[in-house]
Amino acid sequence: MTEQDLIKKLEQIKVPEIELITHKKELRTYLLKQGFKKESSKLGRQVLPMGLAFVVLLALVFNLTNFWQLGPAGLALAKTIAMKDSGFRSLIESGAVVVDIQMADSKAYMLVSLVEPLIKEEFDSVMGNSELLLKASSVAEVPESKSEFLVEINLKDKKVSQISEVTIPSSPLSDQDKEKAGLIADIPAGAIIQEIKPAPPQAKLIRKGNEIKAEATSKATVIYRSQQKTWQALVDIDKNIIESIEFIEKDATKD
Amino acid sequence: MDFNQERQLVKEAKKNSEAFTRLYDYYYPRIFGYVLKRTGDVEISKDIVSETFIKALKNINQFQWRQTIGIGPNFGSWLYRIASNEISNFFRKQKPVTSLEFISDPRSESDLHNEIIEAQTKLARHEDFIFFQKQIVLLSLKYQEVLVLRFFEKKKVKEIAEILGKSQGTIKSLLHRGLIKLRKQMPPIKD
Repeated sequence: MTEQDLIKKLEQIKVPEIELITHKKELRTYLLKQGFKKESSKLGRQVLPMGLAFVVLLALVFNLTNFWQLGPAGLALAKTIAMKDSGFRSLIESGAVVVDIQMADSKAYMLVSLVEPLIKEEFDSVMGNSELLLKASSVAEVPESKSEFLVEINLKDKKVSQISEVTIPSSPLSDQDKEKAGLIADIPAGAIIQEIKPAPPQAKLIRKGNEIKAEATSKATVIYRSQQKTWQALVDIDKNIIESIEFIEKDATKD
Repeated sequence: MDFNQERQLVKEAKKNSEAFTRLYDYYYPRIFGYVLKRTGDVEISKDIVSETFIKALKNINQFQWRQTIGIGPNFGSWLYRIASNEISNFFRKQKPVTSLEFISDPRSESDLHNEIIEAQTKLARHEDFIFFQKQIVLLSLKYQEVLVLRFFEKKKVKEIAEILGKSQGTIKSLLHRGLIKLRKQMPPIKD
């Protein structure tokens, strides 16, 4: 056979076109997961020096400003002032809990969440005697989505200056969010995801300049079956973390 | 995917793993095909392809477009180069390149096993390819890679030069010498 014949023969060969779909899918998931880890650790490396700088700055500010504006003393003062307010006290007595607190200027902001939604009568009886409650239209109605309360405390005047209701809508998850939530949940091998749905609406306090605002968090609930039990993982899509994992149901075929 | 689209995706992939998976979706069949044509074994190819993409993800920040005469190496050439290095490692060590990091999900192990058997069966039907692949694999690695890229992957000399980081002259010379060696060692072929 001449070299030309060999070239011709090689050029005419029909080559196989083979793909391993399962492998492709698994490797894709693995790479995506690794990528998220890489992004999170990169973010961590960027945030850590910033965090240290912030602590140093905080220490400097602490010495230059009134100490009650920041730190545990400020928080304790805010709590004492809030508990003197009848509206705030009614909320706490009806089972509400403080879920977040932030300081800005000479004010403290508390985000108060009702564990169970109040029915209208209870809601009126709890809040009806507070002159500080903003009479927004959403307040007068029974809230359909989850309602939380933003309490503004004036540390200089030592009084609660405002209690406003914040309605946190439940927003649907996009396919991308669901994929990400599934990966963050890091379910054990052999487990099967049954459902990925938006977590009950929840808010957090966000500082925007000198303003403090309540914003909805981006969380999802991943329900999966593992070892004949149903588990539920609450994941924070923005922070790429699992917040909690709980067992919700035993195997129905047993017992 | 054109040059500009790929360039933009690579830029995004350095920060965002979702962009990386878009590149992966596009290149997986190509890289798998190349590795399979080099090794002739589905199972080994699977492991080498895993290693290739894991290394690509780890090192994507080091990937740079080299603005040489007109066109620099594209992302695809870079992936082919990683795959070539992994294949060379495999042939040198003669042991499977099983990733310690990427272990198949037990849920889909049986699906994957069946798929591999099916793929091996499909591969065995390409008798001509198998015959030449087995002959090429007996050559030195430097001839194996140029011959497979040129005749099985249908790459141009310029593209092969880009993938292997060698000059076009070197590639032409390797091709010529590789063909001579292949011809000499080949058993007679019945037409």
